[in-house]
This record gives sequence, structure tokens and C-alpha cells, in this order.
Amino acid sequence: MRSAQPIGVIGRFVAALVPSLTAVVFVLVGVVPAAVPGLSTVSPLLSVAVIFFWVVTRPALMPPAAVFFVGLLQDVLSGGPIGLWALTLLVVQYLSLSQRQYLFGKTFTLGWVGFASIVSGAALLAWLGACIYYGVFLSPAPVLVQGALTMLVYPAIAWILVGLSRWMPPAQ
Amino acid sequence: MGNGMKRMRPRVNQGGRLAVRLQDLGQRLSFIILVCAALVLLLAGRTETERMEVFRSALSDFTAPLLEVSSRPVQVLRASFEQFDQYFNTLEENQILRARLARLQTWHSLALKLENENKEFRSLLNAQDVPEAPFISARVIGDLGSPFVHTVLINAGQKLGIQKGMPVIGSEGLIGQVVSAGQQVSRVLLLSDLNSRVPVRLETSGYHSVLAGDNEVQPQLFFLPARANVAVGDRLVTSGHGGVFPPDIPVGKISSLNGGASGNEVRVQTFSDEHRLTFVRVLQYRGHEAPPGTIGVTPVEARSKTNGGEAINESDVSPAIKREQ
Repeated sequence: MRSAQPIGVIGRFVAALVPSLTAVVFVLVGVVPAAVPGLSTVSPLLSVAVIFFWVVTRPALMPPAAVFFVGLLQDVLSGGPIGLWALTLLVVQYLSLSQRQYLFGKTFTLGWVGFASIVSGAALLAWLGACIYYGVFLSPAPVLVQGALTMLVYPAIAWILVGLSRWMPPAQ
Repeated sequence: MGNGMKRMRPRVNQGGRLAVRLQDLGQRLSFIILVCAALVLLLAGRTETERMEVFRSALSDFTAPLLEVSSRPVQVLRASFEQFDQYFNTLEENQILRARLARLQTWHSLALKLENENKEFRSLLNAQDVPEAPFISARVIGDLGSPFVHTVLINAGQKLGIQKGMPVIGSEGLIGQVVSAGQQVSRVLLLSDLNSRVPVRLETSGYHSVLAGDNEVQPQLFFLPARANVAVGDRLVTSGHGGVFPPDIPVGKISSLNGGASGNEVRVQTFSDEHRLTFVRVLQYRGHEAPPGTIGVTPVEARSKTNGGEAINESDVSPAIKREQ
């Protein structure tokens, strides 16, 4: 692993923005029409994965306000009820923070299992919220697929974010 | 002295702990406030629909340049995928196209003959036709694979004359309608969305029905008259009722009968593939161009009915379907 380099105030400031920026970028990536036809039917919940990762590794850099705005962006872009993802992602942040002591610094597999349970909860909550908002029973199948897809892509996302966090100054 | 030092240290630690606690408290407080904000937004979405739409399209406009830039590489990638596909299938495709050309040439001459005939009959009857609507072409820049809403974002808005309610078509047929139009970006509600309702007509038998989305891939037909005989493969076009959609836009064909929990669901395979949309056309079709024969329904009413979901009038029709024997 690289040793931390002396980084100035500006570097520290930029590094502090990395978690929120990655979350925004991943929300945008999820919205762009997929290159492979058929893939865009249901896309993974990339934002949940990103927020989980940063809350567990750098909780101070993923405050509720950042989570809220990422959720709001996702709501606006998806065309769904505004506030639904903002609320869901806040719950994800809360749950991740409460599980942090069992997950931080432990094996990757344990982190993955922890993520699986949290993403299931998030998918369930979003689905329930949408059902209540629209006042109809929506088929839970797409949400389950979405949750499962997110669990599968988590290692790839974590790999990218671990690479990024190596360039950041260590947490104080 | 030593005693004093011992006392000092815990005090410093306590100060540090207090700071951490205060920070923690601040985080908790902001968490609670933001959860409340999200709930308020959700409630506002239910009650202040119009204002929230304005809010949403303003925010969508703000994100438009980001989406434009990020969708470019994907477009290139997609084009190259297609090119790759074409290289390998040229021979096979050529044969198929030759066969199709031979078949279509017969149809072409028939169509020309019928068109002339039609023109003559129309002039004889002095029949009124609905004028062709001008259109605006746009590119799909956003397509969130959300399980709850089936919409896409297109890179054209009010600046180019797009307004809420305008029908959107692709090369194969109807795609949906504009539900919100920002300055540069508009959102298109696809046929499969929960809130999509389109008055349709069975092309051959002429029975009217409503194509309703329920977030499944294939939307279903509502309010099909009980005596209507339908079969798998029957084509559907827009009926033009309600004045939102012009008549005779191809929509899809019936793909299954008697499905679902109730045993009389009729599902429709739309002609346009919602997951392969790249370019779309927005018809500048206005409500006041409502086709002749539309009585008592002003376009505004029709629009709110199609968007509202359950508000469509069910008079002398029953959802029960008779299967063709």
C-alpha cells in the first residue's frame, strides 16, 4: 500500500469531496442509456453501493446532507416520486453507520454480506414507498432483480472506490 | 504538580469527547431534519403535483449538460456494437432483405393503387382528414432502469416548442407522451408506465379500448367491449379519442389473451422497443386539433384523465373479454 504523502489544505479539501462526487458520478452512470441493449430494463442501485462503502470506510466524508442531495438527484433523474430515494438513501446511511463497527476493517466477504442485507432493506423500503405513494400494489420482481444485481456488482464498485481512497489522505 | 497533570489529562479528553459528541449530535440533528424534508417532499409530490413538476423540470434542466456529455461515449459504443453486428450478418441479412423487397414491391404497387382510390373517394365524399402534425426529432439522453417509473429523458424542451402532453413516436410506432417539458430537456412517459393511458382502436375490427401500463414490459388493454372478438396478433392503432394522440399511429399487437390473476387480461406487445430508443420524434399535435367526432372532452380534461389513472369513464363497457373461438 502507498504511504500517505504530505498533502496540503487544498488536497485535503478535494479529497473530502471525492466521496460525494463519486456518488453523483455513479448516479449519472446509472441514468445513461446502456450500451448493451436490454441491460437498461433494470439497472443496479449504484448509489446505495457507493454510500455504503463511504459510510463504512470514511463516515465523516459522507454526511446526511450529501446523502440527501445524491438521493434528490436520483429522484429528479428517475422521474419517480421526489423524496423517495432521498429518504431511502438516508436510511441506508443510518443502517450502514450502525453496522460500521462490525464491518470496518473486517474481511471483504463480511462487508459484502453486510452490504447485501442493507441493499435488500433499501430495495424493500423503496418498493414499499412507491406502493404507498402510487396507492397500488406494484410487482416486487423488478426490485428484487435490482437488489440482486446490485449485490453482484458491489465487488467491482468497491474495487474502484478502494483504488480511489488510496489516493486520499488517511482519516483523522 | 503531578496530581494536577493527572487531573488535566482527563479534562482534555473530556473536551475532545464533547467535541465528538457535539459533532455527532449535529449529524443526528441534520439526519432527522433531512428525513423530515424527504417526507415533506413526498407529501408535496402527492398534493402539489403541478408545482413539483415545475421544480423537477427546473432541476432536470440543470443536469442536462451533464447527461449530454456522459451519454456521448455510450452512444458511440452502441453504434460500434451495431456495426460489429452488421459485419457478421451481412450475407444473411442481404438474403432476408431481397426476399422482403420482392414481397414489398407487390405491396407498394397495391398501396399506390389504394392511395389513389382513397383520394378519389375522399374527394367524392368531401371527407375531413386530420392534418399531419409537424414534429421535432430528439435524442434519448437518460433512461434510468427504475422499477417504479418507465420514463426517458430527451434533449429537447420548451425552447424547441415541446409542450406537456405531446405524443412521442419512434420509427416503429408510438412510444408515449411528454409528461414534463423543461427548457432543454423533456421527460417522456413510456407506454408501459403505471400512469400511461392511451385510447386505442383495433385496426381491423374497429373496437375501441384503452392501453394501460402497469410497469410490466407489456401493457394491457382496459375497457374492451365484452362482445369484441380479439385474437393474438391483432394490430392496435391510436384511436384519436380524447384529443391527446392523433389517430392511426401504430401502437402494437396483441400478444396474449386470458392471462393474469383475473383470467381475462389482454397484453400488448408494443411495436417500439422501449429499451432500444435512441432517436424519437415529438409530434407537435395540439389539443385544439381534436379530430372531428370528439364531443364534450376538452383536451385539458382528456390530459388529466389520461394522467390521473383511474379517472377514465367506464360507461357501457365491461372488462370481460370473450375469446375468439
